[in-house]
Amino acid sequence: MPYSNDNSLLADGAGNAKKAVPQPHSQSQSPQALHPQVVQQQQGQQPQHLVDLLSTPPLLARVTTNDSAHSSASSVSLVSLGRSDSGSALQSLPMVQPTPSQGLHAVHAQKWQHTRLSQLVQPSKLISIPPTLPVEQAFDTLVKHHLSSLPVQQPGQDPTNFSTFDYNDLNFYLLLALGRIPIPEGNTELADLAKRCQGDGVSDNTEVPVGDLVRVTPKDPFFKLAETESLSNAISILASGVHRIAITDVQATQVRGILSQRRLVHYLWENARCFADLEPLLNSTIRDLNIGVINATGSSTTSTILANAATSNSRVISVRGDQPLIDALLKMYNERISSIAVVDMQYNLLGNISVTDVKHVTRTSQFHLLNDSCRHFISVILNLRGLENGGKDSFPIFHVYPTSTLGRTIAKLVATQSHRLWIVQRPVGSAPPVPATDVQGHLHNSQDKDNIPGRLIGVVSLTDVLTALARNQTHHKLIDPQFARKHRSPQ
Amino acid sequence: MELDRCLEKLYKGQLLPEVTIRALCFKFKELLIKESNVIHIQTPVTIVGDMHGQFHDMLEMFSIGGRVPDTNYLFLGDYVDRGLYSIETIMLLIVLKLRYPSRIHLLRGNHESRQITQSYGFYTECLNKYGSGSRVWQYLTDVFDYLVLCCIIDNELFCVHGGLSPNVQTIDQIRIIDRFREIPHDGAMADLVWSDPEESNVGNLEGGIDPSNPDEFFKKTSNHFQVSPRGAGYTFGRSVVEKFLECNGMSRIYRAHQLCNEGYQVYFDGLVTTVWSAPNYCYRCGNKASILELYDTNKYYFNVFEEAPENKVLKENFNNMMDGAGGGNGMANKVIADYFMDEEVTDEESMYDVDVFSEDYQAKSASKRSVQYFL
Repeated sequence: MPYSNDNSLLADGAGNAKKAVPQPHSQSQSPQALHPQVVQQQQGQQPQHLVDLLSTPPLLARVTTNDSAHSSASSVSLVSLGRSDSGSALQSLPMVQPTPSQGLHAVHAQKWQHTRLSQLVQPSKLISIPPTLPVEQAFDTLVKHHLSSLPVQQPGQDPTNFSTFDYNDLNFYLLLALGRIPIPEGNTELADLAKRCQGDGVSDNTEVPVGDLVRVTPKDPFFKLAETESLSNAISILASGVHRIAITDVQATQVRGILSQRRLVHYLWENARCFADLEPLLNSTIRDLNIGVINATGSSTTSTILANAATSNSRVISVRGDQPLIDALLKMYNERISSIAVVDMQYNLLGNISVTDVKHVTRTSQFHLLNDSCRHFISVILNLRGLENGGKDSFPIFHVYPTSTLGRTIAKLVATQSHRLWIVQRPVGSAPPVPATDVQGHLHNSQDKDNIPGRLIGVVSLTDVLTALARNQTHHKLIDPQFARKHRSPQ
Repeated sequence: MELDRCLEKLYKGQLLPEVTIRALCFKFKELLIKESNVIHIQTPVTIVGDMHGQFHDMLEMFSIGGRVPDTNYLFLGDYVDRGLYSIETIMLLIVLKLRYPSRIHLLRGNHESRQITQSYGFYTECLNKYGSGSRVWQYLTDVFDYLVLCCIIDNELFCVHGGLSPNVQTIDQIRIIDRFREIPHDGAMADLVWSDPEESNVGNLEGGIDPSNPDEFFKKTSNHFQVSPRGAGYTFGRSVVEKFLECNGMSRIYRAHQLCNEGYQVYFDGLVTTVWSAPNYCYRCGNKASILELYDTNKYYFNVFEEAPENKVLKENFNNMMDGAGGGNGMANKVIADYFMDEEVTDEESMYDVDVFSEDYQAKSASKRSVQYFL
């Protein structure tokens, strides 16, 4: 195992912080961090890199047949392949069910890049809507099937070229109906659509067909690949920020499924044990890999962060908690992003608002939320989400640190089913949480008690994760994660 | 005794003046600072799960399980947020602890945190009931820092709010944590209040499990901790639990933290049990609640109950307002507007003898409550 400080049994990131910034107590920590074997002898029963283990991919699952290509409700299914000896090193765990020797040989020879796309898609789960469907019903379809996007296909026409309807479109529709989208001179199509959205008193504004809407909304460039192609082709496209690709049969006559960024990351994570060359990558920190957007801060002092926030030098797009919700929705549309961070005056992260949360303001009874603060809206989202999850409240922010490993980042992305994690800074001056074997635990600074949620300094998304994986390949070295965002336009 | 007078008011659902709350919090901290992170108690004791500000249901629970000090209680945390009476709930528990310190014990839940209470309702409730200039929220969240983390009953039953942590193999490791702080994002203290047992899929055909495939059908839970979908803490499977219990000489774990339709939920053939004590959670989930009455290590009874009848009156009043009876939309708008207005609660008001269950009081207090649950 590499000497990454994630190997410490101590709290997540605690060991990492010590690597990045020398701290007074590091002398006694480093023996543990650099010699994990010592830790194992002390602990006896636990594997030596416990927290690291949690950031490594799960034991190999059976091929599950219920993962749909573009469902946002896909679950992580993990099958324990019998009781494995917890003391054994990771590499020797049997990867597949049949005789270990055969399985291992086949497995180590596998390169993830060569996986056929046909293995990732599932045609039976494909749902599409006709362009004549009213927007409101299109929205209901999204909600009913727990999807984040739907292909809009005209029956009878080429099924392999289509547009999509997603929550960005719904956001646009809402802003248009409220008259918040500036309509350029001469753009009669948009002006006409705006009039219809707003209701001209004659026809019902809920009957606007979705086809008319998706013609004018900004879209990712459309890509399609045959199912016989390999993952390496798909990943280059998805790593440039495109959210999903259509997968067709070899003749390109019908669509087999939609491959989303999330599906791909999910697949790679669940099967990462097969792909031995991924391991060093997964153990590197996101800072080392230089992925994601991180504010350039030479020192992590408070004044630098505040200066950044004050002069809007931050590369992370955010909105303040006291601003009205409509500002957040507008900003997401203007910046062509699907999620925005909500921060307080000191640039601490309070939470985030995604474009999918627009579903909570579509009814006229909910319109008052648009003028209420973003902070209040976060509270509404969290409360609703907790109830939807069977009473399981979630932590208000999904975050990682610059010193978190790629493995940990992916594990959290997959577990929380989110598209991005916010990078926050550990509160300045506070010691990391007291780890189990820290003998200096009682000496740390007791003044700063971790009251602040954590200053927002960056964001890492599925696109960035895929970029890291794509750059790892021998081909396709030049990946620009901002490519798709720059090219989002009406098609 | 002053505490008895406070109790009298609190049982009626009255709000205490801010100065009183400040004094009580101070005393409470004095009491708890002496406690270890891990407390030891003996049966008989009744274990109570999440209450989440459902004050009337808590009174119902006391009438079912017996009042303090007639019954010993162990509360597993999550006293505030979500429900509309978090302040009344936590204040009653604080004063009960001050008055009968050996009869009631309070653990810390993940909602006993500054960050969480700002998002899930407690902060807003403090603003609404005591005004924007008050420091009631600060006093109470400071007090939360002092709550103990876990409890061991009869030296063999481990009780914690959430679950286990990969950073904790032995109980001693919990003892040396510095708990007098806001719950951190990561680490042992966070995990203990955020973790969940893994759901195994025995008998669950909805997940696309093939019933004719025995391996899939009786899917075992994983051998290690997994990152939790909640964004904090971990999920843990049976073998993790077995290792922990064996390593520490315990037989079972009792915890809360997750809604249970039937009021309680048993995992891993009884190794882990969730106790949930907030019936009809958020006034809409329709679930039952329970308390676990432990007579002996191996003699226990899940006392299941439903929501208090008073809640129905409250909901009716509110629905009447929303539907347009007596004021109609004007009232609804006022309710929404009131959500952000600072309520002027004078000290004299809260000292009056108010009948909490009268229609007038319910209607008046409902107008001060947060709206979103009913939309």
